[in-house]
Amino acid sequence: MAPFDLDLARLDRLMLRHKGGLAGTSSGKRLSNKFGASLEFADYRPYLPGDDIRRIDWAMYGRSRKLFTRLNRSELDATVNIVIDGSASMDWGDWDKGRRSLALAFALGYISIRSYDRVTLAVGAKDVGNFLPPVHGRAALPRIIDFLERQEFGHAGNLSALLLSLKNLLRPNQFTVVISDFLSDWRQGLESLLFARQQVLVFHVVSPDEVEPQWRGALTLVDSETGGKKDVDLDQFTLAAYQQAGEEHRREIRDFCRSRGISCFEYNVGADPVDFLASIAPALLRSV
Amino acid sequence: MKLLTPLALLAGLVIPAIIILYMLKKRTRPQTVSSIILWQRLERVNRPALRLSKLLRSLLLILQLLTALLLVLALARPVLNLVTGSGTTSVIIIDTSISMGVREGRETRLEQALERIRAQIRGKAPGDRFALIAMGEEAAVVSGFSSDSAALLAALAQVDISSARANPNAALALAVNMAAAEAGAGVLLYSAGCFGPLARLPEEGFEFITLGSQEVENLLIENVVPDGDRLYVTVFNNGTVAASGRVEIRDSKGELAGRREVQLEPQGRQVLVWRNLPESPWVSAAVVSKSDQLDLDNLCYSLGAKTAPGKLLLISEGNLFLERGLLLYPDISVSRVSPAAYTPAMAEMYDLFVLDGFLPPELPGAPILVFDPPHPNSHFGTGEAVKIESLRPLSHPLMSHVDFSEVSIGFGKVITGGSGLLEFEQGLLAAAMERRGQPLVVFGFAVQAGDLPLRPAFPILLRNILDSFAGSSQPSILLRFCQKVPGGDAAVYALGSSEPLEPGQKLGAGVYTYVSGEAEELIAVNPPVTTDSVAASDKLETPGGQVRGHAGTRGMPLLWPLILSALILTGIEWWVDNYGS
Repeated sequence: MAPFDLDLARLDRLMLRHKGGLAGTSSGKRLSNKFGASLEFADYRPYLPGDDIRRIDWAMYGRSRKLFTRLNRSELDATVNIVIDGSASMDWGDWDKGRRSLALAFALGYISIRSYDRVTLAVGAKDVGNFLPPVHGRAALPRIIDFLERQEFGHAGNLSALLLSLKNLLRPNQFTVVISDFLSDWRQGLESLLFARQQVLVFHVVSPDEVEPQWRGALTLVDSETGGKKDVDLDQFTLAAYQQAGEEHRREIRDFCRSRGISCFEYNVGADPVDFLASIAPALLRSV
Repeated sequence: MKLLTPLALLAGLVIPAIIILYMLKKRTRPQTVSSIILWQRLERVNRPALRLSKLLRSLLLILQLLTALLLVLALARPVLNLVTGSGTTSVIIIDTSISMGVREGRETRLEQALERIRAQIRGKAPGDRFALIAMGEEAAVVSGFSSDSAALLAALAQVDISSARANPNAALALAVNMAAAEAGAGVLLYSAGCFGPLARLPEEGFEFITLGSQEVENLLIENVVPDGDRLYVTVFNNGTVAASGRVEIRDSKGELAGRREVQLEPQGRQVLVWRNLPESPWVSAAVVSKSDQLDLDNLCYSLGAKTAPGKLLLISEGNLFLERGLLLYPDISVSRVSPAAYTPAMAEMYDLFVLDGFLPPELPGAPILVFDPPHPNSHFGTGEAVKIESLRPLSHPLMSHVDFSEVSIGFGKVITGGSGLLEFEQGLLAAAMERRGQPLVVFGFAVQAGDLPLRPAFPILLRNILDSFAGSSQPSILLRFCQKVPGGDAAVYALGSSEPLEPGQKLGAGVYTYVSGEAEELIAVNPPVTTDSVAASDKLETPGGQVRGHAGTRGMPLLWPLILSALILTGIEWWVDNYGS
């Protein structure tokens, strides 16, 4: 097995599905609307001196006695910015939400690298604490692994602040993947990504312990980030109300994303990241 | 409803304690969570769910309070006084026939009835009034209308099995008369229903509370008749299933004198004969059977027969049944002469006379037994021969152990005068009289006018009469089971006791010594027996159709229903707590 115990072979021939208008260099695998050197035919134009004579369409010349040059589409790469919420809440629970989130980030990075995209990684609680500049090519995978392995969670977080702090690092028409538990302010941050003309993917990370807590009785709940407290008498009724509140929270995120064209996925860390990506592949990924 | 232990209601203080415990703040333990953002939103989840949650929370409290309330009530032992139609003032008729002695489980039917009535009396409201009637062969008022529970319970303690059969018509007539004097009074009949059709029922406010099951196993000693050195013991099965047991004969010292196994089908009868039993002033016969449900009729005492020898003259045209019947008694020398050959001189030559369809102009100065006397005659009053529809034996020492239940007589004449032995629709059919200081027993029918000579009753009847003529073992007083010891100069002693029984004390089964002046004699008192089925019936036959009884719910204790309800509530509370959401 590969790093993070992932079965990466299942991800080899996949790439993130884009909605067009990506910016990048001409060395990628993504067809753009620009003319370039790919094999994909795009158009004809009259021959101009200086054009590569290998591009003249001689069949057309035979029919029309005029010289035409074949134009092909160009193939670009994309830049995938993976932002991981590094707040303390991401490292809570028996299921190690943080470790699974890093594994998910690596899987997404792997897919991007394999599809000749550029990958940046950013981890932070309220701002970008650690940043991996754009890397590409298979040789970059050890750097990504090394970067992810070094990350720690442990600060009070604010997702909006983190995403706002990215504005100087982002260029228009890039992918930005947000991996967070969304247990802080998040609306303004996502709005800022859209404002920066990013194609945004949201992974809402939840832990089974958060969906259905196993403890019962009279409890003083202590916030892992802020240390804030709340007394509850956790019986079936309180649990039902909590689960209803959690569902409402998740629905708010989904509705927000849907209304703004953001792809949103809920990742329960009880599932293997690769299995999870395979399950959402029709909506998120396509074959190379 | 009445509370038997009202002080237990003090335990109700636990209810406010539960409420206080609910109001107290619970001690909490810390639990780290990823964030309390979602928990802080609990106060603003949508309202319907919040209401349901609050309702269910309250439901838990309510269920706990209800459970506590039910348990407190159960401790107070409430008794529900179910009043159905007849109101709370009632005449309670208690069947005291032998059929109520049948054991149903560990208790007899009568004990079950008395327990229910006791619960009814204890659970009655202060203004409720009850009257008690014991329904034996005669109806007896045990207690008039009273609201005094102690007096009613004391009266109830006097009720016991008293007779072979019940007379429901007499008891109901008495109850209706008593109920008429109390506004809104009803009539309750506690009985196994082992009696025939009723003449009429109270028009309203009548309840029949049935006791016992319809399947009974019972063998009984129908009678024990000593005859010289022989002893006849009749065993009968008046249950509904085949029964087997052992019949044991014991002498006056309690020594086992004989033992036989018997097995009888329902309504089956077997006469066992023992010969050459040792001399004993009295013997007892007992059925020993583990599964027998009626103990009372398993024991029967009989005094030894003492027939003085004598010469008997039978004046008859010829009656084989009578001759054979009289020849059964070896102590008596029997001669027969036809009426035409009878002369007054013969009156001095014989000690006893049996006249069959004949009366001489002048009766002999000796004990006389007459069958089918001519009508009219100059010695006693008779009537024309008429058809006999039904026959009823009367209580008389001469009828002791004589079972006329299976005897039918076609035609007979009314006999006037004397004390009755048998009666039918028109009047007395047989009577015992006295002429010139000598006993005269007259039967107004011919021996062959029915099936009497074919029944066990016939030899027993002859034996009783001849014993009586011989001045013999027939006691001078007839003491009955459950009868109160008579007062006066005479005294009754239990065997082996030097102290006489208190006057008014009830006699049980056994052999007693009756002392009157210088005279002293043994008297056997036997329990009532019946050859009618003792299987319970929950239906009463009345002219207006059948009336169905019920098991009786008056004075029903609510202890177990309350405990059961509390358990169910506890289960519901557990379910709501764990799965209610």
